[in-house]
Amino acid sequence: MRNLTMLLFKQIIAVIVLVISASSVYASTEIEREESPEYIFYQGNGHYKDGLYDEALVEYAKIIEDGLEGGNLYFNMGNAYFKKGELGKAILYYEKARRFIPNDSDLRSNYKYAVSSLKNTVDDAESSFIHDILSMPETLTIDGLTLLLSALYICIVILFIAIIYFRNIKRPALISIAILSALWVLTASSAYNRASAIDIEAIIILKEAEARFEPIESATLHFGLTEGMKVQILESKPKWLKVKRNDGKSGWINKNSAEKIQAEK
Amino acid sequence: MILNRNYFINIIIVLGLLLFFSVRSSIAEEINFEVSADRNVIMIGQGLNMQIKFSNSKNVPALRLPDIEGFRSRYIGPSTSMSIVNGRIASSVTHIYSLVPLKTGKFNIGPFGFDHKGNTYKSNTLMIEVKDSLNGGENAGRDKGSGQAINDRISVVMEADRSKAYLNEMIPLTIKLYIDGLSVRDIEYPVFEHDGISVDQFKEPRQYQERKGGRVHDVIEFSTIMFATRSGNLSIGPARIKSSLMIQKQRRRSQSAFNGFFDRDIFGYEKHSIELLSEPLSLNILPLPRDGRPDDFRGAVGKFRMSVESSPSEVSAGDPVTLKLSITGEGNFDTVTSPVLKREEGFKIYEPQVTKSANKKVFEHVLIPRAETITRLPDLYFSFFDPEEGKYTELIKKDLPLKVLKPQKDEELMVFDAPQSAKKRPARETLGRDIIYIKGSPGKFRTAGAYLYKNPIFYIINVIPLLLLISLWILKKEKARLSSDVGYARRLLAPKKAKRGMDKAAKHLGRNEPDEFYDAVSKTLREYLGNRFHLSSGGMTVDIVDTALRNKDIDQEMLQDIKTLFNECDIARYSSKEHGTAEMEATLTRLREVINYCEQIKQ
Repeated sequence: MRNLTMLLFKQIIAVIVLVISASSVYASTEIEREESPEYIFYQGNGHYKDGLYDEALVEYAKIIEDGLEGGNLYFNMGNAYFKKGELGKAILYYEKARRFIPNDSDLRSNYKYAVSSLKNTVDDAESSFIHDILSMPETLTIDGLTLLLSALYICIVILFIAIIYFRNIKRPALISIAILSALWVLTASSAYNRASAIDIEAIIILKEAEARFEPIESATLHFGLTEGMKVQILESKPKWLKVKRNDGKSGWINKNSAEKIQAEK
Repeated sequence: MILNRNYFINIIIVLGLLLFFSVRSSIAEEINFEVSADRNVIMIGQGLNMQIKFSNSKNVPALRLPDIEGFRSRYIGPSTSMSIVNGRIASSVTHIYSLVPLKTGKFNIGPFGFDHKGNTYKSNTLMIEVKDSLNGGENAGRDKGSGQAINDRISVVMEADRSKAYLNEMIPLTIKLYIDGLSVRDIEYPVFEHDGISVDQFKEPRQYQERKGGRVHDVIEFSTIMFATRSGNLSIGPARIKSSLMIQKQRRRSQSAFNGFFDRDIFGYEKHSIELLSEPLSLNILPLPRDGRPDDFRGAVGKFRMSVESSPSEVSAGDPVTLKLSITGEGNFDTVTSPVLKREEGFKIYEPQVTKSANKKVFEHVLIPRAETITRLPDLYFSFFDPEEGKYTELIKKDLPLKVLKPQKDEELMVFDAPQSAKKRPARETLGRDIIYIKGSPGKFRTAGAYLYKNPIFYIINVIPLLLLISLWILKKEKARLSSDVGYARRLLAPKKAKRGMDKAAKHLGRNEPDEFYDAVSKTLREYLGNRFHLSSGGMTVDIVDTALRNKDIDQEMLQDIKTLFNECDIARYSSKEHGTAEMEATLTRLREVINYCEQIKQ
């Protein structure tokens, strides 16, 4: 009888231990969730407000290390680099932000100002109706373009269904389908270009970078690149990057001269 | 003159021969190998010189000494000598080592061995006694335990005020260097690893005496404060302190009255670099609790007070007001950010200027009221986490009065209307340019690189409308064909109707109603064949069926079965013959086989 009581007592203790350990596991998961990205973001903002830009960047970088990204986050990081005087990095982060919030007026203003600070000129883009129409895809994110493509496609399908069931609207429906299809093709082409550029666009982050004909230190200089300039990466080697400038010239630069807009995973 | 030259040559030849034979004799002799020390009894804190002398050779390199128990050794250098005794040249080399005792006791040094030109040599053994007292009688009263190590005489202890703390909570840290009767100089500030912990600079070290282990020690205390930047179990240290131990050199005693004085001057000591290590510390860092965390909490940890000053208390709309917010108290001021301003509508607010001093952080905001209707300053909220209480505290300053007057437009007009300025146009306002301030809200975060076009679910969803279109198109086509093609419509209906007929026949079979059964079988067969092959079901006979199906590429055996079915039905309906259940079951089975076969043939 006594042995039975002892056995029961031991089992109760074991159950209590299990419950406590399970609750501690739950508590530990709570701890992991403790520093949410929003909380870290506010911490970063706090440092920024105090003028501690390096500390702010450390906080913001924690969010990126957690595998997250966002337009406002990159915008604030761009501002912090701008305040630190690292304009190349500021433009890099504004470019990153543009992939999330291309229509944000603050971002456009800061981006334009950062670019003009580098060139020492005010770079006001021309604004006209045709220009606005042509640059409309630029005002959308890649996800926005993808959704637009999907919406156009669904409209085309609906029109086809309408033709099947309502013969009398065949003509206007076909005209609409033709217009929507043309728009779909244009949007798809823009989305394709944007998606192709995601992993190859980079920004020059050093004050000056020298592009050479060959990936060797002693190779002949080909052309120069300045801070904040956007380039396309054509090829990558351990210490060198083959980049193409907007005018089509390509050459080899040191890897630390440029940073990709889309961070590598 | 020639005589003199011959005499000189003869002297050189004689000397050369002498040297040759003497060297030969010295090489031929064995090397003597002897270890000695300048004294056999030393005090801890003193050093001694050990000589290893190799006689009959001056080319023996210094020995690489093994670890000697109770001592730390260091090679000082060689000393060579040559002597000519009775025309015989004797050369020797002495390698000198400095030994510093690490603990008290009696120690045997050696024997040492070495190989030279194929021969192995072995030295004698030295016995050295290391005593505790540095100055003989001075420490006679202290406890002299045998085998006391130098670590007991000089040690480093690292102590944190507490081992459990919250994230960002300030923790005092003390590192003490205990010295017991040794001469130590060039003490450097401690260094230690502190991953995940932010450590402030050390204050000026403090010196005092403390009793430890029954002995009075000189203590040099380094103190600072630290805070953890991440939660969990963190390790700190060990702390390293580099310094120089001054070891008293042995001097030859002479009768001079001044020797007692010079033994203790700086030149009478030898400097030995040492590095002292403390034990590492472990800290349990708790995260800040989520419960009760105010919305405006920005990470401040400590116990703070907030005071507000504004000046002037009466302004015109458009003129600046300075709002000085002082946060005082104790805690981690690195985590203190500007209090949050709420209900700030009607004000233009500039970024604060921050000044930090000991236990105080001041934020100076410049605010510009835009309208004279404003009667109060914005509300101020400052939240902090009090680690002593283990809870959040929110400090609020509300409804701070401010009197805003109408802007003095008349004065401005007066200025522009003045005669000398009337002709001048007001200078164009020069505006500064800067970037727009950071975003206050984080917006939406997304997994890096997770674009919609890379998501397979998105494609699956997009296929649905296309499938819907195709289905509706097929349905529409089918419907159109059904309404225009009667034969097709009948053919589609045939199996469904046949199934119903067979079910009905099966029911009659179950009830053992032969007449009704054969009626149902006959009707089902006629209707099915009529629908399936687009024939008139009404006047269908065996002959009509035979003629119609002969061109349909139907198996003759199956055609025979169809005929048999017709006959069985006719016999059953028009004769008085009794039909058993087995016969009816065979008929129904045959009907099923016929219908299944007809469904499989192409038309």
